[in-house]
Amino acid sequence: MDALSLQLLFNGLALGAGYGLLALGFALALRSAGAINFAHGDVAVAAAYVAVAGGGLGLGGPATAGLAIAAGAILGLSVAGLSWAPLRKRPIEATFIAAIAIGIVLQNGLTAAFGGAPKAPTQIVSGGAQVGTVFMSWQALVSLTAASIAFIAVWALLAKSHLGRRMRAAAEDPEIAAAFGIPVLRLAILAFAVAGALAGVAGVLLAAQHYATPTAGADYILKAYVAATAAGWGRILPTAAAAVAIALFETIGAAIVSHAVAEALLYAGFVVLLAFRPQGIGGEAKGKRA
Amino acid sequence: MSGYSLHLLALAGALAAGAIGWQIVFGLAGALSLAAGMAMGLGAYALIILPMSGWPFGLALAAAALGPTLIFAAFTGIIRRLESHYFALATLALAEIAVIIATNWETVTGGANGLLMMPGPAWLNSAEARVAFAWGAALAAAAAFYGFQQYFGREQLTLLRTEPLAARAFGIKAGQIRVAAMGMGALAGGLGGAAHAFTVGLVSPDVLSFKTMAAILAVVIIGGRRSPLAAMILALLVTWTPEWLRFLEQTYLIAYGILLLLVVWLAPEGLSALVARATRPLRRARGLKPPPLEALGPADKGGLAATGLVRRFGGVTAVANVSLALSPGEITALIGPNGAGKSTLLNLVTGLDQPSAGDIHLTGRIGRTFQTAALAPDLSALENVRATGASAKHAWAALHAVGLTADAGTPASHLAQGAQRFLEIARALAARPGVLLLDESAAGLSADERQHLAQVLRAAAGAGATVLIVEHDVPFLSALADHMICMSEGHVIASGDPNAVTRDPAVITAYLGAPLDRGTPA
Repeated sequence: MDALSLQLLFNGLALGAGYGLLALGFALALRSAGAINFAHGDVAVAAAYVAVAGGGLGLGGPATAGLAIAAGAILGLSVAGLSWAPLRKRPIEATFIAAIAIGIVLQNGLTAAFGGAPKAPTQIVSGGAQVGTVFMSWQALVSLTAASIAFIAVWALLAKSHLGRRMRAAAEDPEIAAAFGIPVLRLAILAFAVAGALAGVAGVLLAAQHYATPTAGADYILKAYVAATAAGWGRILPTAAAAVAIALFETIGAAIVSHAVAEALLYAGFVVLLAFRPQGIGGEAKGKRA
Repeated sequence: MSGYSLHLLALAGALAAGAIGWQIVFGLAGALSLAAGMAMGLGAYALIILPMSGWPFGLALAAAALGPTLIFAAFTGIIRRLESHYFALATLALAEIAVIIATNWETVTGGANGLLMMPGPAWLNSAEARVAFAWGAALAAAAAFYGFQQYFGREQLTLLRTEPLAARAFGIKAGQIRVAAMGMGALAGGLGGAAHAFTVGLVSPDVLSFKTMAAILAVVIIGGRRSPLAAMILALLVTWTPEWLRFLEQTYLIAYGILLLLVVWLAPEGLSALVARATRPLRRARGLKPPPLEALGPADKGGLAATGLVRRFGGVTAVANVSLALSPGEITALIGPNGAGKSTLLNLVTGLDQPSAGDIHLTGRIGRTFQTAALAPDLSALENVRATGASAKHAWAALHAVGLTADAGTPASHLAQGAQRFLEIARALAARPGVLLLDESAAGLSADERQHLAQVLRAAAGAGATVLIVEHDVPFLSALADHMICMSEGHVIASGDPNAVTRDPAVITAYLGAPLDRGTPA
């Protein structure tokens, strides 16, 4: 493999870490609350802007990232409290529209506060190392490490822990779970908060490498959704693999043709996948297809 | 009116057309499309780009309407089976592709800056003409809305939105309705987009973007999903709000979001539904005129035979090698402990599910009820029956057969549980089925209601229908059925005269060996 290909591979992996974190939060909310959060991308963008604001106040990279994670968790809680909890007994479209409404508030709030131009928060760590022909920025390595830890932690939580089993039971059949004394609502809201925190990490990492605009949320949620769908709903580790595959496709496609073409092909491929294999490449559908 | 007010008035008309287009998609067909902005954008680009290549204005306008129609109908054809969020995100992906193309295909679309319009025909070059054009588009969209509702039937569409599974069982073609709705919606949206481009004299990726979708969401969710008039009023308000709130600059869009949330919480059907509710008592007082009663026998003799049916779910065999033969005029009871495979068998027979192996021979039409009452809660009893496509006469006769004519105008959600069961049976009867299948229809009925149910079923069988009833209440069935089949763990373990089956040792073991069985539900 030549030098350029190796560098692309590394850049793709780093981008995949960001998409993976987004998709992970998305899958967690789905698996443990049975909820599709349409504001998930906007939460990530808003958290990135909180980091931008923190940088403007003179905070360093790690502090702004911490701020973004906290903001993501609070926003995740707000989405749960405003769009999901009060509407979860209604037709499911009501929760979608309420989340989209929150997204509209966030997008326009950010535009009003920061303007529409692309912004990037301070990098958590600057600089990097030359390994052979590949330049590895510390920021990209931090992304990869953070994503790996988050994936293993969430996987262990859901697959191995008592709390994770209760969360899954609550998502699969809330009424039966409640009858067995599982605090369904509290667990779901917890899942939204953790998903928001993960979106916060993803937002700050993606924006530091590739900038963010107030309306980037639609692209973010689509990529998270593509990864989650391709992997099969709620399957944690395949979701990571799918996110990396999407990022590699985007990075390599951008190098060969253009970013726009790569992105358009990605979405077109997603529609074809949905039409012919809605259960994903990996396995059985977990989501409801009434 | 000042020139600027006329300009805003034209913009409001364009937005109303786009919003009414989305009412067809979401309000009537119940499909959450997030590509309504794209439909408008396509219309806008067509109206501006095509005249540059020498198309006459009229032809460009036709393309602005028909182009989006064809693209949306074809796209929906591919994804028509997807439900809820799958459908929503697939349409969002489509809309994003459109934005990417519009922004990057600079030689054709002018890229991010967009394109200016060539001067249109002279007789259209006035503010008044632009207002007429835009509101003409809105009226055309409203005509498309009512035409669509008329063609597919208000009741059928309501059933499709609220109980998709029951709609499928009654043969309502959900996929076709979606394709038609997305095509019609895009027609209205394309016209609205053309009116928008014509009014502002330019087009850019902005009109395709989620901003347009957000405005349409605000108009339809706040105003009401099924009221073109409300969409027109809200489009005016939404267009003028930024002028009134000019001191807020960008932030007025935040207000849309907050208002949207409030409406979803407090008035989920939109403001127009609040107005309608205030006037509803008047409407009901008009009453319903019953048509003359008609005998309600089956349209044709029905029979049902199945041989060697098997249905596996992963490693579980829910139905294992089941054969049965039912004949007209006979009532057959299917019993068995919970999890015996009875509902799975009904799903196979009605075609809701496909067998892993085996053959089904069905003659005549089929009518069925569901374990959980699958009625559209907002429709009246008569409308629920008519939603299956039954004529008014047959619907009325079916309500008469179950004794519900007095409640014909009552919404299904206001009926007592027992009455809802009978309404389900009336709905199945109205299609004049050769084969009538009932799934736990006696559950939750009082002793008197059970007697009434037995009479209804005997009358249906007497008129020539083939009746299959799945029940837990064995004593009730023993008195009612001509023939009884008992299933356990997917197999038929006894079949024949009800009194013989209920004394069969295998049947007794199956029931006693399953302590979780509810027996006779209270």
